[in-house]
Amino acid sequence: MKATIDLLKKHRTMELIDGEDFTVKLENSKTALVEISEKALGPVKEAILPLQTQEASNIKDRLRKFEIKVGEYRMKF
Amino acid sequence: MDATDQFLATYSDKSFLWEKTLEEDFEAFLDTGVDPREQKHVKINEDGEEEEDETFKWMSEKILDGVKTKQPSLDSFHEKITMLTGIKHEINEMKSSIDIGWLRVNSTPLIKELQNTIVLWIDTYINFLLDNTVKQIKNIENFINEVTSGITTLPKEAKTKQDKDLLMKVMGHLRDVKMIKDRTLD
Repeated sequence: MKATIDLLKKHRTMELIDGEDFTVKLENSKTALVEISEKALGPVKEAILPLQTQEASNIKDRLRKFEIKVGEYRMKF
Repeated sequence: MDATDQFLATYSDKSFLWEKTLEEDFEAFLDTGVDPREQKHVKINEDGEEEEDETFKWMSEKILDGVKTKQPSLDSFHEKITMLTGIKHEINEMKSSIDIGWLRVNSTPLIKELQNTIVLWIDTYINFLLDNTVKQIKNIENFINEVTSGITTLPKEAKTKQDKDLLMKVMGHLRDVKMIKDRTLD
């Protein structure tokens, strides 16, 4: 995108986007994306990890119980 | 006769402006490019084998929504726009009145029309790139806003269906961020 903006600037006086220069806008978006990524994959991920682990364990339990049930059903034949 | 041919020759390299249709020519130009959406994106996994790289698909759904991706390289755009701008300058410098023997040719209406046409051609190429860039930036902003609001409220436990739905929603946002962050803003 930066290369495209540089090319556009060579050929046209660029208008502003939401009152900001295109390159500045792109840089700000990049910073915001990095910040939200760090938050999401850092403290947020950490906060939900125990719940995720618990849920994974619950699903494994349900799966195991289902397998036992299928096994019992087969024994009847 | 020589003078007439000479006069006509000054317009010969601009004949595409009335012989070709802008829309068709532009579509043909775009068709010379490769669409990354139609390409296979692969990565090497831990076992050294090739496997599908899903990050492009995720990024394309969020960031390239509404963006036309089948296009030639930026160098091709630069070359084309530079060529058209050169023609525009040539048209601007054309004499509006020329004497061929006893005949005086007034080219003002023709030159005016060619100036309008060449500007349309240049704008089509530039606006394509501009529109695509604006859409991508807006899509990134929307994605950031979506994730920001999506991870504001976190589930405290996962006992009720409501809690589990919220947990799944947050996990979905984390997956999106993981998939997209390294693919975007290149």
